[in-house]
This record gives sequence, C-alpha cells and structure tokens, in this order.
Amino acid sequence: MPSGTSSPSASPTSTQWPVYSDATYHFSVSYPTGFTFQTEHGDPASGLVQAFRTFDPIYLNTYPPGQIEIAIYARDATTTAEWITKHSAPASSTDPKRYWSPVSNETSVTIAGTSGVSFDWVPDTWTTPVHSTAVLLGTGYVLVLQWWSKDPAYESTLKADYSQMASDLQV
Amino acid sequence: MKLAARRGVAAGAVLGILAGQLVVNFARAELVYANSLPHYYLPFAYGERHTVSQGNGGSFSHTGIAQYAWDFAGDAFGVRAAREGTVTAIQQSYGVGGCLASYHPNYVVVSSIEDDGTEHDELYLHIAHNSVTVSLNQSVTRGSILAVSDSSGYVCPDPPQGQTCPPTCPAAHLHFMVMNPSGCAPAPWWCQSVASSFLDSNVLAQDTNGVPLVNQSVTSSNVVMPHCNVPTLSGQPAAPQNAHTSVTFSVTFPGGNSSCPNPNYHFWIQPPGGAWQSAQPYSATAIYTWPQDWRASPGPWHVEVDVRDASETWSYDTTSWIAYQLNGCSAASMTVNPPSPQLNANQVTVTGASTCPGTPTYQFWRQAPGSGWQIVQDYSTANVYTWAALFGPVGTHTLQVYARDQGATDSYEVASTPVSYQLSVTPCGTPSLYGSPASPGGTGNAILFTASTSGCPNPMYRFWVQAPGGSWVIEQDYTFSNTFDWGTWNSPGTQAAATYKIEVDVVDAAERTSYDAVANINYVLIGCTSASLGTSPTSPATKGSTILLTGSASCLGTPQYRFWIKSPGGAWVMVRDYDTNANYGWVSPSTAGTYGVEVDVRDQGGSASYETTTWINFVLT
Repeated sequence: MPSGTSSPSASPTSTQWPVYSDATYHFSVSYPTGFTFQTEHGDPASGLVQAFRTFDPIYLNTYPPGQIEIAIYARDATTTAEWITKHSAPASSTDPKRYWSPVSNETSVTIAGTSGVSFDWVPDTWTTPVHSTAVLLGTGYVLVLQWWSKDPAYESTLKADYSQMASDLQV
Repeated sequence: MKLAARRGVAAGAVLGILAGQLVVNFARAELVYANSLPHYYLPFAYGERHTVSQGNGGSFSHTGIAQYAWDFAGDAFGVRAAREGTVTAIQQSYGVGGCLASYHPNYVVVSSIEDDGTEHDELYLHIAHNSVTVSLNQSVTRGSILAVSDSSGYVCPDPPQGQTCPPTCPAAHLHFMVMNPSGCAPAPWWCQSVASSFLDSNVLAQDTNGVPLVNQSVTSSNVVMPHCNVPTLSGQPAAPQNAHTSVTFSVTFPGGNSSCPNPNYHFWIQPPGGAWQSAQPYSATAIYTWPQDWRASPGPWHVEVDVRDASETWSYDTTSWIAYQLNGCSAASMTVNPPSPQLNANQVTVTGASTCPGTPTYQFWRQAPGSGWQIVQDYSTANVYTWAALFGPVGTHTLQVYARDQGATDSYEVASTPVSYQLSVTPCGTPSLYGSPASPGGTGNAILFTASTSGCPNPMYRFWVQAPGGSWVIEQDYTFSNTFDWGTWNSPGTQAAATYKIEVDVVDAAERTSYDAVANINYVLIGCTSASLGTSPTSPATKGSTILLTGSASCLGTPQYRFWIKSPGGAWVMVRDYDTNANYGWVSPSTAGTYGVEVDVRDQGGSASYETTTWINFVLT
C-alpha cells in the first residue's frame, strides 16, 4: 500500500489517468487507468529507499510479461550521469550498491521539466532490457522511472504508457 | 575471477551435446538420458517436503538460460548442498525481494565435478540476506547447509498486502539449477542450465527419471548434515574477578540449537599477551572450569568455544569468544634503610609494598657485584627482608622485590623498580700476634696464638704455620675467631722441637680480597734434655733381685719415660713404654751377666720417638 502520507488519487489529467502523489519524496505521477499502483519495499542495504510498480492486475498473482516501475534511491552524486556511473559495475561485483551492469544507450533527456538521463540495462538473470530514465529528486534522492516487457507483443503498449507517465511526472 | 578462470574446461562440449539432444525433445530426452544426467539430491534437509512451484521449462521464468531450473516453494528453510563441491560465488548483500526488476538476488554457487570429470555449477538463488554459512573456496559435502531460503531478487507474485498471496509474499522459493560454467551471461554466475535429475527416493517414486514436475511435492533424501548455531559463552562469576578466582565457563544457545543434535565443544584460552591454547578438547561437556594454574595471571584473558556436532570432523560449525579480566597485584615498590651508599653497614632493611586484591606476598631478589640475580627471600607474606650486609661483598648491589597475590603461582604479578645499593668498608689494619706461653714452648704444650687488628668493622683471621724447611700451611682458615690453638687445634703431640714461623692474615668479612694485612712471628719448641738413669741397688746386684730404675731429664713440660733392657748377647727389649712415672721396678733374670739398661725421655705430647736418652751396663751376679 502507499505510505500514510501518500495515496493514489483520481485527479483527472489530460488522459484522465489516476495520479499517485507522494508527500514523502515529493513527486506525483499518473498511471494507466485500470492498472494497479503498488508500493514495494526499499532495500536499505543498497540505497534503494522506496519502490513502486504499476501493472495490469490480471498479473497480480503471477509473473507479469511487463510492467512500469518507479524506484527512489538515495542521492550520492552531483549529477544524474555521475550517479548512474557510480552505481554501475560488472555483474560479478558483490557491492550491494551496484544497481546495474554497465548501462547502454545513455542519453540526456528532459523530464518533468528538468534534465534527466535515459539509459538501458539488463538485470543479472534476464535477457530483457529495462528502459530507465533517472532524474534528481531534490537534494536527497534520485527517481528512476523504468519499464520492461518480456513479451514483444506487449512492448508497444507499455512503452506508450511509460511515455505518458514520463510526460505527467512532476518532481 | 574464479568463475572466469574455471571456464574453458572441455565439459562444455559434453554438455553441449547433451543439452542439444535434450532441447530437441525434452520429454523424450528425460527418458533416454535419465541415467546419464548429472545426479543430485534435493537441496533441503532430509525429510523436508517442498512443492515445485515452477519446474523445468516453466513459462514464468524458466526459459532460455534457466530452462532446467526448479523453484522449490517455501520461506526460511535451510538450503543444503545438492552435491559435494567447492563454493565459487557468494552474494548475500541484498536485503529484499519482490516483483521488481530493481531487486537483486542473493545466491551461492557450488562447483562440482561429475563422475566423468565434467564440471558443473549449482546455483542456489534467492537466499536470505546475510544467511550464507559457507565461505568462498570452501569445500562442502552433500547435505551441508549453505544458506537460508528467502525471496531476494526478482520474485513474483507480489500482490499488495491484504490480498491473496500463496503461501508467502513475495512468493519465497529456492531457485535451483545445474549450470554449464562455460555459458554465462550476463552475470558470470548466471550460466546456461543443463538437464539434471534427483536421486531422492521420493522423487524417483514420482518420476523414474528423477525430474520433478511443477506442483509436485517432493521429500528430500539428502544427507542429514547437522549445523550448530552460534553459542553464547559466559563466565561465572562474571568478569572482572581477582586472579585465582575459580571461574566456570558455560555455553548456551539463546537461539536454540535444534539442528545440532549432539553438540561438542572445544574450549580455547588466551593468556594476557599470549597465544591461543587448546584448553579442553572436543567433548560433549559444555562447561569448562578454569584450572588453578591457568588463572593465576592477572590481565585480559580470552576464552573461546568452538562448536560442532559429534558427527562432524571439521574444525567447527560456529565459535564464540569472550574477554575475561583477572585483577592482580599492582604497583610494587621498595624502600631500603639505611639508604645507599653505606660504609661499614652491618644490616640493611629492605621493605616491599604492593596493592593486591587479596593478601600480597613478596619475593626479594639481590644481584651482588659480578654475580647473577639470586632469590634472597622467597615468597611469603613478610614484606621485610633483612640483609646481612656485613658479609658484603663490597661494591654495587641491585635489589628488587616481586609481588603476587597469596595463592598465585605466577613468577610474579608486579615487580618493583630495581634499586642500586653501594656497599663499602674500612680495611683492616696491620694485626698483632703473640703466642701463649711465649716462645720458647715445650713440644707437648698447647700453644694459643692470639691476633688483633683495628679499623675494619668485622675482621676475620687466618693462621698459617711454617715448619723448618717446609711450606706454609693454613692451619686455621678465615673465621671471626682471633685465636689459634696450635696444640688442640692440630692434634697435640705432633710438633717436633724446632723453630716455627707463625702468620696471621686479616680481612673484613665484607671483602673478597685475600687479606688486608699480615703479621709473622717465630716460635721455638724445645724438647726434654739431659737424660740420666739411676739404679737401686747399684750394679752389681744379685741375679733375680728387683732393681729400681729411675729416670730423670730436663723438660719444659711433663716428662715421660720409657725403659729398655738388653740381655748379654741379646737385643734391646722395651720393658715399659712411655709413662710419666720416672721409676720402673726391674725384676732381674736368674742369669748372671752384664745387662744394658736404657731410659728414653720426651715431653708429654711431643711427637718425637725420644727427645733425650741414656743407658748404662748393669751386672748381675
């Protein structure tokens, strides 16, 4: 469930999607109508302070073919690019603050009216890439909005939803 | 990289062939190659039962690299080695798991060699944060506990709280697969899975090929490998204590120890500043009592207990140690009275002091000039040592006191700072020497020589005698006595009449020199002289009558007489040995003739056969 100070709301947007506003980390984001928006655990050992995912609820009790995720990390670098580099390491590394193997397609983007960096990475046990965009969330955090799909037929849908969420994101 | 280094083994070709055939017809391949598949046991404890939540080729996530994986559902069960091998990779840093790509898994990889020499890696995935009980490069036997199952990494389903979730959320399980170490991507520990099977009887009962299917519940026949939990070691009474206190250390398991049915304990101890020593070898005794002689030394001790099951042979499963402070004597000091330096000191009082938890005892040491350290007063509660300094030797001494608690057996618990002490003495002056009676003396006299000196506080005397033509002989070595009784000292009656030299040497008792000064005198011994012999009646006399023989001589002492008779044509025969009686009644023989009659005289106590003699002819008719 979302934290006590934050909750999904039905605030209308241009797409009439529900919006999740987070008072702790000071951001809001819309998510597709009919999707579940779910709060996940943070991992203090790694610097992942909070996570969220939104997905089609038909996959509630199984492995989803794809979903959109938001991860809030502790900020420990000056710029987004530095932060991404700092937490990149080979998969053989046992550093708990390794978030991804060396990233690819790193590109500067504008998101939520500020500068961010988009990049791709592949989880250790996957072959499917995760498409991520990182943006600084004040002085203390970094927000990563990302999507992935293991089903090629599902890719276009999720990618479009992700683009809308990125467009609606406010930090 | 350990994983990278091991790659290149020819095993890849073998597996490639095997995997290739299996991929073509997976179901058939299980039947065809059942006996040639790598064989394992279920990766959990004997008797445990878990459901296969996803089997080989499971559509959720067991495709591609993970095609031949199994997910065994369950949370917090002990993950055990499915086969013997060597631990080649460990990750246990990550804290959580769930249905999120950003979650990273914890894992253990064990490398095994098949009977045909093929190398395989076994992956135990999604284990709990910091739960790994083995270390890199450690050899593990089948059934050894490796970690605890959990749901670290990407694990689904993971519905919101309050919603249906079978049976735990996230869906905790152990992902197990056997891998070909030459086909790894993207992570070096995430390698192409290969077909494998289980030999557990329950698995084979459900599938003769040993390949459990999804939703099957399987019971492990894996070896029961006990594992002892981390013990808590405590001392009773609690530290700190005074040295020599009787202390008992005991082991408990606050978190329980159910997986260690027969715990054995090995106690170790480390003295302050010393090395660890085995104190009590492995046994079922969970108590160790500190021996008396091992707890004598104050300071920070350490005690450790290693724990393993009685069935285990390796060093230990777990260990625990504690520090234990023993308090002892401290701050030893020493005072001397009178203070150094001292001239002609007869006695020095050395006083030790120390602060001890119990009753202090003291041991006093002294190092004389040119000598080694010696214990001059062994441990006792007496804190005073009285040094008879009159015996020196002169020079610089060093004094020190050791202290320890009563009952301690350590050489010492604390030592005072060594103190130097300078002794000196006034040498003896030239002695005087005289004999009594004054020279000359009789050969049989006991003569007392007396010496005296001055200056030195504790003079000692040594007396020498030189006979005419002879060497000097020590007749009385150094003593505090200033007299020498020549007669009684050296057996009376041994001195012949002559002029002797007498010497006395003097030295102070504190000195080690031969002498400070000497004195010599001559002493004359005179024997008996002018022997004469009278008879009554006078010669001639009637044969067979008694003739009174009377000797006389001039002697400084008491004369002794000896009488001899010589028959006509015969030899001299002693008729009476030495005696102070000057008369002898000779009963003459019945044979007439001219007889010789002789008297020998010497001083009583003289050593000569005779000192003077005379004889006469006596006629019997």
